[in-house]
Amino acid sequence: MNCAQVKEQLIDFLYGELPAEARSAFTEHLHGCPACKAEVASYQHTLGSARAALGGPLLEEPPARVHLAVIAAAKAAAKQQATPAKVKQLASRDDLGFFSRLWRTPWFLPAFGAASIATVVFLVRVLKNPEVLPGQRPHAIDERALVAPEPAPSPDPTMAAQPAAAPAAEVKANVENSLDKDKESSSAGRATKHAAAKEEMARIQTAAGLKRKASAERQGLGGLKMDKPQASAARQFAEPPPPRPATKKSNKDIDDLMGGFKETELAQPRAQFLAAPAGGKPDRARGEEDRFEGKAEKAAGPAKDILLNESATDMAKPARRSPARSAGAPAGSAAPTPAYAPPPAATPAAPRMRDLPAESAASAPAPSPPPAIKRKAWRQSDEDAKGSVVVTDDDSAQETDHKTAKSSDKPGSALDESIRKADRLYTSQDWNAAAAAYRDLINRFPGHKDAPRWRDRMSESLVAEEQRQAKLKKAKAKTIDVLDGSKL
Amino acid sequence: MARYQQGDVAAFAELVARHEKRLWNFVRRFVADSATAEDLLQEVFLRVVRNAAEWHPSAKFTTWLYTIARNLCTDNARRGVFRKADSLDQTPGATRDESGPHRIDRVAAPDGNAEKAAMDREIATRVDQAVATLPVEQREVFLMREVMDMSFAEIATATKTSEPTVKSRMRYALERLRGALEELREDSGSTAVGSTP
Repeated sequence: MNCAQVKEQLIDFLYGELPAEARSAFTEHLHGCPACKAEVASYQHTLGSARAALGGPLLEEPPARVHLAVIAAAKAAAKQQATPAKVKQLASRDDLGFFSRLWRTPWFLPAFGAASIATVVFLVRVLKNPEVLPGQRPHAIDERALVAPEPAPSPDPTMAAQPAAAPAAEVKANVENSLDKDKESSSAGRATKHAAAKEEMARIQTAAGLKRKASAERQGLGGLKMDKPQASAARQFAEPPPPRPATKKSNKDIDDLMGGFKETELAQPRAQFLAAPAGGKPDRARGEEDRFEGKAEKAAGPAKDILLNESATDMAKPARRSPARSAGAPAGSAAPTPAYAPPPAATPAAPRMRDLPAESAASAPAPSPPPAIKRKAWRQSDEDAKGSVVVTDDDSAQETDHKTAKSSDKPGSALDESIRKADRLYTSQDWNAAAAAYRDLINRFPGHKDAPRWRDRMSESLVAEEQRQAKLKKAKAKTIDVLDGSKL
Repeated sequence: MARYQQGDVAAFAELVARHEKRLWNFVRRFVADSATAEDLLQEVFLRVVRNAAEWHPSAKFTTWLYTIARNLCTDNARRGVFRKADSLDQTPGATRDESGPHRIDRVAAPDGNAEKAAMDREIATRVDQAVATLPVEQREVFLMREVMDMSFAEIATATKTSEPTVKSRMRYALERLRGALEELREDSGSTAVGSTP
């Protein structure tokens, strides 16, 4: 070991951190080197003196106030540590996002569940009956909806429309009487009625005003005045069929076949039947009914034959003259104007083959090709003669009567669609709309073999509607009485 | 310290009692005046309280505690508040101009030998002055080793330096002290020679 190494290892030697071997070498060098020995001795003396000073005169006691302050701070910190969970919960709650906090709120789940149920109920109701707007009574009826349709303009001025409107007029009179009574009673007690009853009346009046406005806009529906959904439903039946240049001619032919049988005439026996008192003359009414039925059957006979033989008719061949036409129907006589007169179309379209005789069908332009959409085809069968229709698939219909299905695709399906809708409204007891639908059918196809059934159902619908209306009035009056009684 | 983390204040009081004397002497030798030393000592323990949750049992508490003290003292020294060694003629806790009992008077003579006691007081004064004039790096190493009894390895950890660097700084510090004490020895020798008839 040399002197430089001694200097390097001096601190370790002074503090006793040298290994034994290095320490012996260090000591051995000191024995042989007086300079290093003196230097090491001076360091030992300095270190001893410093230790003596620091451990003796320079040693001081810490101030007591520092000790007290530190202990007090420690106690306070320990108290704060006692409630770390609450602080952490609050802090974590503040750190949460909006949706996380919303999810943790106690009222969120019940409110969300209630909103979901309400939405599902609303959607189910709308999907189940899309024609009725939410919040509107499905069978709301306007008394003016019962007004008889305006008679179709007749070429014969002697044929008044008054008899045709007789059943509906009777119903209207009854309804108006009840309305007048109701109005009188309500006006008499209006001053003392409950505010809710007033609001109800105001709402009804407002609705009636709107309905009147809507009905004024739809004068083309045979005078039917309906509220909005019913009007929309009826508008479906009143939708103008595809333009058909031969329609007028075909209607004329049908009227020729029916011998000028008018809707007013058809409705007359029914009106008389309804107008007769309960103990009146049912035999006469029945007789009139039979006469009507017989006449209608008689008039519809050839047309029915034509319709039934339609399937066997080759539309491409030159058409035969219908028996009725060949029987000498007045060709120059004014054609009876149908209740619905479609506007003259600029472009020819598929004729209503069921309404057309073979001749007119032959003269009609070729029907447009059937759409690619597979749909139900209606086939008249033997059951159809009984007043019901049989639904068959398009394929089977084509198998049995391909040409008929092809030729009568569009107009036949439109008629059948109208019948189906009317029947559906009737079965769903939507009396007002059903009556309108049947009335529309009667106006459009007065010579149809199901026309008597339509008339029956229309009358039944009107009567049922009247009864329902009366019930509503009674219930309303009862409610008002109850409210008045509770207030008094 | 683990007990204090569980909320045992008595355990913390025990810790304070165990380490405050060393800490105080370390701080007292390191900073300029006693008031600053008090503030620093209090701040050391308050930091321990505030950061008690961060202490891990795997760490040595004394190393952690003395590291906090050393950082505070070095920060204070680097702010320019250098300790000016009080004169031994000054009253403890008082300014130099105040009158009162001198600190050197509190240094008791162990064996009643007045001469030796006077010499010890002089040595202590020199040591105190020499330590106060040491550079911060050497001072902290010297005080941590001699006052807080830390090993060189612990000092290296606290000062974030290597162990040879610590030893080197320790050697330089001892050289300065040796020089101061040699001056005292020379002064006392010359005084003795001069006083000798």
